Amino acid sequence: MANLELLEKLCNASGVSGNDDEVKDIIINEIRNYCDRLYIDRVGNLIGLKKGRKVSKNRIMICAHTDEVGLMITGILKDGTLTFEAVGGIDCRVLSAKRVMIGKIPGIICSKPIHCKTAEERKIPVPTKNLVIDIGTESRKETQELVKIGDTATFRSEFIRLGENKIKAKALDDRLGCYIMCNILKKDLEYDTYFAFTQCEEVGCRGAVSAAMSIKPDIGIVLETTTAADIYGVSGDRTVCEQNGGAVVSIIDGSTIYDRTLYKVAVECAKKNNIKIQTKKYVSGGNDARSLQRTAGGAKVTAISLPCRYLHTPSCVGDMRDAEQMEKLCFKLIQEYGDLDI
Amino acid sequence: MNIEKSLRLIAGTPSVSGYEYLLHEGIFSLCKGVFDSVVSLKDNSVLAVKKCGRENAPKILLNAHIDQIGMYVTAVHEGGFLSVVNIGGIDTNILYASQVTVYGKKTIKGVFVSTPPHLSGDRDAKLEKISDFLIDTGLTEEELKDIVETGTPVVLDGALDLLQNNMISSGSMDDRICMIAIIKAVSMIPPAEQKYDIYALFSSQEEVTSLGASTGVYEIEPDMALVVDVGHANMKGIDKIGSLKYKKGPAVSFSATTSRKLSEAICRCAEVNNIPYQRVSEANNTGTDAHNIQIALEGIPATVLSLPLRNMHTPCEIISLEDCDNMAALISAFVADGTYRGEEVCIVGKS
Repeated sequence: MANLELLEKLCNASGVSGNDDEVKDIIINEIRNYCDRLYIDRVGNLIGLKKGRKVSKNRIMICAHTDEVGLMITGILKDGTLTFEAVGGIDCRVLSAKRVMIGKIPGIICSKPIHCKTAEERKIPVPTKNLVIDIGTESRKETQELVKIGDTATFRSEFIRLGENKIKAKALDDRLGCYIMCNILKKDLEYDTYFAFTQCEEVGCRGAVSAAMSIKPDIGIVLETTTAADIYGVSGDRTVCEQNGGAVVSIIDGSTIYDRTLYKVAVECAKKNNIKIQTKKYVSGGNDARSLQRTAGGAKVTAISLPCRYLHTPSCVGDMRDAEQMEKLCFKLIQEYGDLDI
Repeated sequence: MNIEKSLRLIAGTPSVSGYEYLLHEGIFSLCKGVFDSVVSLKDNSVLAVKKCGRENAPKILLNAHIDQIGMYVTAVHEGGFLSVVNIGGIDTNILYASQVTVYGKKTIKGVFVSTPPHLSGDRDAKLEKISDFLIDTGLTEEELKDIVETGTPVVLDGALDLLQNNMISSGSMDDRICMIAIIKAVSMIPPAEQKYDIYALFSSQEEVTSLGASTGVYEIEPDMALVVDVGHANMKGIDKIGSLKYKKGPAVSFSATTSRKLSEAICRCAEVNNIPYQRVSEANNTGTDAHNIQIALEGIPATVLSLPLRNMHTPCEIISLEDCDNMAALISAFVADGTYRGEEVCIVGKS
């Protein structure tokens, strides 16, 4: 597995939607010497231009989002604990008894002990609005010194290997995409390529709109993670896609019908270069492609995703063998798409 | 003796009920130099003894349990998934997407499957039973079968964190933290002031059947027993009444199932020595080893000292270091006080 250190740093960084500077700083540090132009636009997208050997017929933009789902502090209670809301889609069942970081302050999402729950309470998940974060303080005043309303909190989850090829971390969605973009940026490219590290994907694919406005791409390639439900007992289309099944090239998801030509080119390209790919078997989810497709007169779009288990939880699980296939495919497609007559 | 350091020393060792022996080495090293003798008992409990050298000194049993809640592997599935059964009470609400350690032939990591939204339907509707959960290990079925078998213990990972105000969060502090408080208490008593023979019983299987305490008592035949366990600290969602407050000292139990005279003696001792304490009423059951100890042998005056703890039976239990220190101070003061004798009261004739 190549340079996992960078991926680890990216996943461990705190970057809840709208508050992702820490992630951008890591990326800037990593790629500044490889860009011909690098800037942060007015809404917070980090955009880099890397010149290739030639200018292509079609302007290509690759994008991955820097933000992650997380929590926002909404209030401080009398006993010093904090109320919060989810930023982005978080299943309330993954929250109880989890560790979080509010900036540099460690906290615990409290979980009413099973001994104190009624038989009925034991059958239903505690909704997010009934949960609080405990940071060890005893009064509102004491907490106010440390945490402010509007601060964001991320899951604390170790970046670990699971078996030979898999990793488990928070925020693989979409630091994995950012990581692959960094890797590609460091290579010699055939064509000039724009790299957009977009913000606020998790709250409506918003950053990609402004990024597309300023880049005006003809073709957009979105590097993402997508649900893999290939778990024991699930079969057929319900698995969505499979780990170690290769890079996922989408035909359709919950918000985009992907460009048919680009899809075919990607499939051909994979075959030619011995790259393992699969497609999504279940219509669900969505990503920045939906913004790129309809902004500034529109663009043709492709999404290349990592089959990722347990998205939007503290424990995303991805297979690095799939990540390698994604990187290979994306690199080759810069040339293939640049040459296309569209 | 530093409580946080002691806790860190054993934090990485599992002791799911039935596997307490894995923790014995750690317990022996914590007890080193504090007791006269430390032995393992047949049911995986540990008995540590320190005599006071006085003739006919009463025997005091200081008890904390050393097992922790956890899981046993029940099956290995295609794709490298495990099924488990809970050992002790586990709220399935805390399992989704949690990291675990599986203590097989090799120690491996895993995560509980969190069903993706497109499969789980109405997400607010219900919690699955633990038998419906899977653990994803990232290994193949074949690799996994070489490492685990039915009964392999599994523990929810909970790193030890220092929160604000010297509050500590970690897994399995129920009831290791109280074992550490007992060892610290014994280490604090000046030998000349020890009035009882101390029998510290670090018991097994409290989380399932109270086995270790029920049998261990017979090795000791104590005159009185202090059971030291964790109690629910006040938090959002649980009743203020009956729950404990942090930083108000250990809670002394008043219950139909604990000895009122012993409890009162402890309260008096706390007052005399200026150690903070709180009273807690648990009318019918303390839910601790004291329940069985009290009716063992010909009856043993027993009570419970509780340490306030939030999020019990989760990997994020929270305690106050200050409370632990006060717990140790109170136990130590009580053993040095020695007024309470726990004797039967003879009304007619001789006892």
